[in-house]
Amino acid sequence: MDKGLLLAIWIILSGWALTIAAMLVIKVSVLSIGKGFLEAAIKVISAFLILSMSLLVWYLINRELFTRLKRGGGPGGT
Amino acid sequence: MSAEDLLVPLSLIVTAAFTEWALRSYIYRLKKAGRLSRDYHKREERWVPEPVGPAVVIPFVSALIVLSGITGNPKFLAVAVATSLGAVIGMIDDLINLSALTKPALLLVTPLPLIALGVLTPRPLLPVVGRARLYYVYWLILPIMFSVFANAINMMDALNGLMPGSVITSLMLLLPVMDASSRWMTLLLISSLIPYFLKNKYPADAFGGDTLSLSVGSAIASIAATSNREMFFFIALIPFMVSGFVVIASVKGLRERREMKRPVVVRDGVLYVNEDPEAPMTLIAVLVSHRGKDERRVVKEIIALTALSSLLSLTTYYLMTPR
Repeated sequence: MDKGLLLAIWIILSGWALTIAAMLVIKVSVLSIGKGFLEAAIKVISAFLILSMSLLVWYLINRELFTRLKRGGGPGGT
Repeated sequence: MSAEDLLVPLSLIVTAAFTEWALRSYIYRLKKAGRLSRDYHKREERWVPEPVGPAVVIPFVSALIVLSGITGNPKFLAVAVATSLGAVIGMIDDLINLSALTKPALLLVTPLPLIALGVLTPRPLLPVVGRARLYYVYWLILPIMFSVFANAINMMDALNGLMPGSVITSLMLLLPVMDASSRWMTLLLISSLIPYFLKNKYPADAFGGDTLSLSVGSAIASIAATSNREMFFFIALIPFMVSGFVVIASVKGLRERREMKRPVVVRDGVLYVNEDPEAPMTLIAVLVSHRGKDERRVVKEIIALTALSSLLSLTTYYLMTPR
């Protein structure tokens, strides 16, 4: 089993899922902004924080899987 | 049969033939002038003419300018000027090695011709969301998008045939999501990239240099923006985007390739991951992280990954986008 190729496929699929999730966040929060400035500001900042945190978590997970594979342990920790 | 039915295939054949002729004469001149670069991923020492980018960009841009005159469509001219700007920045980089901050900063100006010629509408079609109205934010995001696209293509231009092979695959699969003029421009770009791919594939006889990768990135971003399909291009190019983002995150900021530790090492023509913890995580490093692979296999796998992301983009367009 080529674990390097499997990890690359996982990175592409999870990157796509993250993009779709970001679009969902934009749809439910930013595009439904009302007239109030405070409400708008809170929604934009929350959406930005959610997206940044998701991107960071996605990166850290993939970095960890890559490091394990590099050390020869593999994602399953064999 | 309309005039356009005849003009489309004719323009593609002429562009491909012009590129082939330009490449042959440019490669000959570069060899004669001793402008050669080392191909590091080979067992034996190999030197290749670089940069042949102008021989690919000039036929593409010329075709766009001629077609702009014939059809009267300003989109052709706008994409031609934006691509040329990318090529000029790439040419400067090939000559004097721009810093990791200067290059993306300069690329921010590449969408200006599209704005000046009024060919953009700030209403991108977004997955899940549908057609968005981004009258203010769009103009702020646009330069960043151009810089990201061009740099992502540039960062992936690392192995023989990788950049043209994956760009051609991705653009071919994206054709159904585009409008007629964007499809025509994309086919012209593919027509000029095919002769280059044949010379750049393993073992490479020519390297395009940053002149080519940055102009191809600018052309793709321009076509994506003029057709309002930015996010679908982004999804199709996820392998390029992921590589760019992950490299920046691994080295904690913008750095030039030559300033970073090499992500892979080559032993007897086989690519292995660099065990150094400071080496960046790139898509190529991920593919060889479990076991070493030869260059041709890595390129085939990345082209397959680009096909996968392009199919995801098509799925998103047809099944997950309200229109």
